[in-house]
Amino acid sequence: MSRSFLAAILLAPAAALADASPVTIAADRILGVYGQEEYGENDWNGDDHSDLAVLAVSEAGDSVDLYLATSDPGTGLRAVTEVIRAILPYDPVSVASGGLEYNVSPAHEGYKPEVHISSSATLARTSIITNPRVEGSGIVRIASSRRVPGTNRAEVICEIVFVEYGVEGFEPWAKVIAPDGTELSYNPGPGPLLSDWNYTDLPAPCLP
Amino acid sequence: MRAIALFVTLASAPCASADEIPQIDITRLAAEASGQDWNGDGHADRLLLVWSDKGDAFDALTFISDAATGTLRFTGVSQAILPARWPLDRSDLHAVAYSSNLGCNPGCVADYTLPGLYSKVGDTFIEITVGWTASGWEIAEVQTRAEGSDCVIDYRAGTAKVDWLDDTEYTIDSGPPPALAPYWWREGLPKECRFAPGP
Repeated sequence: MSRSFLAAILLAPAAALADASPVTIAADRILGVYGQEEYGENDWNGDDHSDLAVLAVSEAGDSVDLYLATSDPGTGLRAVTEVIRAILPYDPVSVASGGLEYNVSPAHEGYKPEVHISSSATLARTSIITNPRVEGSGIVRIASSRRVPGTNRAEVICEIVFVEYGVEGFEPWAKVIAPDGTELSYNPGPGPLLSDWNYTDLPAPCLP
Repeated sequence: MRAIALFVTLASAPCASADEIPQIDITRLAAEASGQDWNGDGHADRLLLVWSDKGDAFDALTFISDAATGTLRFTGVSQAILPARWPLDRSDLHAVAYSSNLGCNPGCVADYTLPGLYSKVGDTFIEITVGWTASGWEIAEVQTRAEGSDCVIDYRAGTAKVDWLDDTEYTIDSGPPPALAPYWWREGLPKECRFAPGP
């Protein structure tokens, strides 16, 4: 895919892309699909047609990309409207050994697409709840957890919340616990645009 | 392995073979399941549901793990295995479940070794639970439902039960597990269970 075509995908609204060439991907790169939901949970643009989120291994094979496709209000047909590069790192060795799993699924908060990487062996998990928007998608919440040493339970060591639905005047907040136990709380400011963001922007304790 | 470009549909290639990894139009992706071990080698396998080019059916793309390395191997496309419509209606639903729960009464243990492929087009519902064998995918269980009638076939147990809207209930001989074939839900199902939309 050329840079100019990708730029067009990133900038143009869904309706304008309805006649564009389809965005294709090798089937073996697809890690997760959040498609049709029975009660319209994945209607992010509010037009009564379902939208789509797809998680896939990047072309270079070292990170994970998120594709967001939104529906045309008139026809219901979907078009890829955003491609978010490197939303998570990718480790093929750990995946092949069964140590890591990736997926995209409805988040508890507002059924937005939640991408996550998790390990059943170590109980480590990082999730990023996205906020699909016509004007450019953002992030609702990021959370990472790790196994509590010597136990079989996990604890949250990083939480960054940019949006809290239904809370007027909500102030973004973040709490990060360093490996030495030092706790840092701060206001992370307004949520970033996903097109300007990748997983390396995370504070170190939040990295998967 | 080499990639083949199928820009809009899979069905334009009559049968993509296992050494050709198809290019998928992202907007044609319907559902995905991974994280379960369907070939019993201790590694996770993967299955994708994709709209066919006519939009009236789903194709399934399957990836089975290599026992030695755990890497996924593309095992081909099973075309038109479930009813669909395109563009989809808000009342439609399609998914790949991680386990078979057909006929699973309270207290039973779900079978995580079999993926269930699920399609609901309007009021018509069909779920096919498939199993991976040395000769490919075969159908383990089927459930169809429409307008209050219900049909459950368990090919492994050799039983089938039909429950019509008028409360008539009877059993039929299921026969052995059939291979998963294109449009099997139209042509292979016992006629008593053909609640799914026809051709």
